[in-house]
Amino acid sequence: MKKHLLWIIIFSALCLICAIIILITDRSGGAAVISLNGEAIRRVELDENQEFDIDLGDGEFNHISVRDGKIAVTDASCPDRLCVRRGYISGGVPIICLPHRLTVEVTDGGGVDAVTGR
Amino acid sequence: MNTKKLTIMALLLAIALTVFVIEAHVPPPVPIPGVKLGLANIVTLAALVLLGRKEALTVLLLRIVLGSVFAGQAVSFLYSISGGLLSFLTMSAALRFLGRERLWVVSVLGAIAHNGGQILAAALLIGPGAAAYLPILLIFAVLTGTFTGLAAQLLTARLGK
Repeated sequence: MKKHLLWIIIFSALCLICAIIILITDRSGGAAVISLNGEAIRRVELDENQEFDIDLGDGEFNHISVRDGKIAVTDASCPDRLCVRRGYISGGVPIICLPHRLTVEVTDGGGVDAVTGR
Repeated sequence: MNTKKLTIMALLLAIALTVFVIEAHVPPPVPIPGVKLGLANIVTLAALVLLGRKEALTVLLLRIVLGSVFAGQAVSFLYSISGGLLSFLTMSAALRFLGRERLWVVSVLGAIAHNGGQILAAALLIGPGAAAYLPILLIFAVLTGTFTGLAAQLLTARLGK
């Protein structure tokens, strides 16, 4: 039992550290940044409800919905649709659509002024 | 290589492939890419304990290649192979030091390495922002790694040898 206990403690500590990192790196606020291939392509204010498509060409898309200060991918042409299953988020771990290399991250709006386009 | 070993390897590959394909069709418990139970790793662990490193690596590589053909998309192969190889190296090294009575620890370390490899592949594909997923993936790696590790430990204990 003793030889297991050490590892149980190590792995529990690792989980705790990870949970703390998730909490302290969470900069949730009133805006969201949508990135494609790691580059921010669009900034969305979450205080107004809206819906729009991110057009990826070749008929590929992610449909983004903003409602009550939360953001979600409500439809997508990707094969696994994990991004859609995430539902509405207001912070925490970003939505990621791996097949489309698209991420949606809720932020406090700071540090993303350099977002290009629109 | 004798016929008995070859037959066991073929059987393990068939089991791993079946488990892998079935798991690919079941929606993952958490809608975050990279989080899954990894049931096929039970077979890799069993092969590592019962047969040896070379045999386990052969079964793993064949399962990843054939698994991508049957159930994967082109992108998922890159994640599978980078995660799978890093995980295998970690597990075969860890097994030497920890032994089979701590196989669940070997499994958790393997799961952590697997997600590390996937994050590396994701960082190459979608940029360094992918590293933000490491903490959440590590938490699930500990949980799923413990589960599959305990399953493999019970399995190898019953199969004896």
